[in-house]
Parts: sequence; structure tokens; C-alpha cells
Amino acid sequence: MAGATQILSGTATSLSSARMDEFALIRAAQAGDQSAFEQLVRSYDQSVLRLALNLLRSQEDASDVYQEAFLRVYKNINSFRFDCSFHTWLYRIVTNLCLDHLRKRKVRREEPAVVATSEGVLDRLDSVTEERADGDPARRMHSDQLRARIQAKLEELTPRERMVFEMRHFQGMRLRAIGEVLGTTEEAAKNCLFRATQKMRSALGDFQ
Amino acid sequence: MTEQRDCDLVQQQLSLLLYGELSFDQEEAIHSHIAAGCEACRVALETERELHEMMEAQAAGMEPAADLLLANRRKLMDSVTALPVPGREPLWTRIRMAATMIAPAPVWRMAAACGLLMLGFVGGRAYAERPPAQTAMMEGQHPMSARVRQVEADGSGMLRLVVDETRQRTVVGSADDAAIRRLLISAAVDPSDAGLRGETVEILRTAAPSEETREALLHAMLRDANDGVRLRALEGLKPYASQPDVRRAMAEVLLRDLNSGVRTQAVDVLTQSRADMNTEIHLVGVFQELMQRESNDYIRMQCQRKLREWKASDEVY
Repeated sequence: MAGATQILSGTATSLSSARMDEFALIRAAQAGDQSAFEQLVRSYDQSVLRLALNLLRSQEDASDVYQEAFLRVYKNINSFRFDCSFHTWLYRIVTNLCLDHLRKRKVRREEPAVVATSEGVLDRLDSVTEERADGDPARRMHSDQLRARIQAKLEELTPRERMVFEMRHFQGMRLRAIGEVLGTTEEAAKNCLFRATQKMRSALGDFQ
Repeated sequence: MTEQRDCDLVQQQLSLLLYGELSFDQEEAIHSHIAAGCEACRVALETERELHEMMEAQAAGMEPAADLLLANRRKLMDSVTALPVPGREPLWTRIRMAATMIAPAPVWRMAAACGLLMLGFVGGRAYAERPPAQTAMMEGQHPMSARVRQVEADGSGMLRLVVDETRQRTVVGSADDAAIRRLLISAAVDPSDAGLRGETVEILRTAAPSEETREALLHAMLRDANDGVRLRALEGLKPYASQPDVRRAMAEVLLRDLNSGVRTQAVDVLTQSRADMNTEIHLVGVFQELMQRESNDYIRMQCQRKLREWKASDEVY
């Protein structure tokens, strides 16, 4: 009980071990506290950048989306009224920006799927998990072919299907949350995911 | 005909089943259908599961590089700093407007000059007396987060609330200061922020060698989920590369790390540094194992070169 009655004084380690309450951070950011805004950014920017990179497959475009999304959040933070979660609000902005980018690519370029990694700018498909547990060349070739086929098929999905598939499969978001982010119903998101998985299955069905 | 329709419906829903996006009743209907002996749907479910697993395997490791995240973060905060606070006039504009209502501008210029002089004098004294790691609580600042832990009424209408508060604090000091180093080490293992970990490991990497720093870098090299952070930690361990436990940890990286860039760096450090023969004997076994299972040509080549130097077998059986 003594522990419960102790009012915690600030220690710097508490900043890293216990994340500050999001509500308080948003309120502080709305009051003009830039460090609170930065904390909010740090809570979400990794997943925002990951989503943008996976969708746009371009480091430059993903960085543009990152900058534009968080600047919009900053400029409009006072209009955030807690009608939805901050995550939903932010992702709504990010997905709209990504959809704009995807739609602008009317003629699909055969661009290299580049990402910045610790080894420099690499092909995204080379940077994902390697089948190195056995180093078996046949398995490695199989894995490379699979990656190439998945990537090619992802490119063929419509921007909305791609968005829903990425958010559900690679970001692990629930369909209800995806529906909220995209401003649609859970059912519509489910139909979209269904179409996307059908297409992916047709591409990978014989790949065993 | 009805059975075929059932199978069509079940097979259409298999993907959503694996995503956990079906209702309890819908899931139950599928499992009942398969449990009733529908071989076609059982096979279809297995196939669907394999497809999901294949795609899951491709999803692993697609985290953005720590450098890219940091660069974006810095650029964003630079942009934000240059912007006015949303919904408000710039502070300076407000101060200037208020000041000119009180006194003409020349008076304020003289006052500002005197103020700066005083600030320099007082600041200089304060700086000279400052301890190595000065911590400054922003007095009067509202807590960044507060949670009421306990509420008691005393019967007279007054309440007694126990509140847990988190406050922000600024800590100033060099990376060689023990207090600062402890904070850096705690930030280096912050699971929620790869960018912060990367930034911190980079600072620790260039800080003066110490046991604490070495332990933190070892932990980051072996355990961090981000490729960039692991790579930086490995580079930071170069000064310790002749120590047996560091070499064993690097050998573990060579055998286990999924990123070929990190493994390449590990093999370079191990082959370019030396240790006593007892430690190197352990490495012979590791390098021989790598000759059989490593997929990266450069790493195999380095292992082979070193094994030949040690006059150990480099045969792949």
C-alpha cells in the first residue's frame, strides 16, 4: 500500500519504460507542446513508414508520405476531437496519401522495390528474411521465386485491394479498424480482402 | 448439388477464417462441415493455410531501416519547429504587439541590450557551477500524464487523491558521464522505438569504452529486432573484438542472424582481429559449420580463407 501511496516523481527512465498517456500527449500537443507532438510521432512513425514503404515500394515516396502525413497531423491537431482513436485518424491520413500516390501511377513502372536497409539501399525482396536455416540453394531459389511472384501479384491488385491486403496481412489490423480508416464498412473491407486473397491464391496456388 | 454449394461457400470463407475475421457461427459451420468428413474442404483448408504461411514468411523482416526512420524524424521535427504553433499567432508577434503598446521601440531596444548583458553574466556563473550531469526539472510544468491511484473521502467533504504522474525532465551531460550512460543504455533497449535505439547505440558506439557500454552493445547485437541497430552495435564492439565472450557472441551472430549484412560485418570483424588460441579453436568449428550452411558467398570465402590460414579442414561434406 505504501507503494500505492507514493507519488512517482519524474525520472528519465520512466519516459522510456512507461509510455506517456496518449490522451495527455494529444492534449499537450494541442496546447502547443512540440515535445509532446514528437512523442506522438515516435509512437507511430515506424508503422507509418513501414506501411508506406510496403505499399509504395519507393523510399522517396514513402518518405514524402511520412512527412506530409505528420505535418498534416501537426497543422490540424486542434481539430482532432477524439471522435475516433488517434491511430485511426493518423492512418486515415496516411492511407489517403498512399492511395493518391498509387492512383497517380497510371502506368505502372517496373521500378525496383528498393528500401533503405542497414546495408544501404537494397531490393526489398532481398532484404526480407532469408531461407538461410539450411542454406540449401534449391530452397533459396524456391523462396526467391515465391517472393517475386507475391510482389508481382501485389502490383496487380487495385489500390484499394492492395491497401486492405497490406493492412490486414502485413500490418495485422482488424477489418473493422481498416473499415474505419478507409471510411467504409467492415463488410466492404471484408469483400475487398476476399477479392485480394482470391487473386493472391490464383497466383500462388500451384506454388508448393 | 446442395453439398457442392456448401463446399463452395466453405472454400470461399477459408481465407477469412485464417485471418480470424469470421463470426463464431461461421467458423463453427466450417469446422462442422470438415469434421463431417468433407475431404475436399479439408485439403482446401490445408492448402489455404500453407499459402498464408508462405505469405507470412515474406512479411517477416520488412521493418524500415533505422537510418531512414531517423532521417525522416529529424526532417519532420525541423519542419515542425519552423512552423507556427497551430491556431496561434507566433509568440514573437504577440510579444512585440504587447510591448509597443507599453513603450516606444527605442526604449525596448535598450532594455533588451541590458537584459542580454545580465543573462550572459548570470548564465556564465551558472554554467561554471554546473555539475557534470545537470538535471533540470521544469518547475511548475504540468505532468505529461497523470493517473489517479486512490481516492479517499474524509467525511468533511474534502477528498484525498493519490496520483501517479509522469513528468518530462531534461538531462544534460556528455556520453562519458556515468548517469548519462545509464540513461542511454536504458534507451538502447526501448522496445517501442527502433529509431531511438539506433540513435542511442550510435552514441554508445563512439563513447569511451566501458563494461556497461560493452554489455549494452552485446545485448543490442544479439537481441535487437532492427537490422540497422544490430549492425551499429556490432561495429561498436570492434574495440572489444579480441575478448573471448565478444568473439563467441559474434560467432553466434554469424550462425543465427538472418541479415546477411550483419553476418558479413561479423565475419569481417572476426577474421580481421585476433584472440588466444583457445578462443580461436571454438571459431574453427563455427567456420566449418558455416562452410556447409552459409548461403552468402563472401562469408563462405572468408571462412575458407581463415580455415586455410589455421590449417584446418575447409571441406564441405
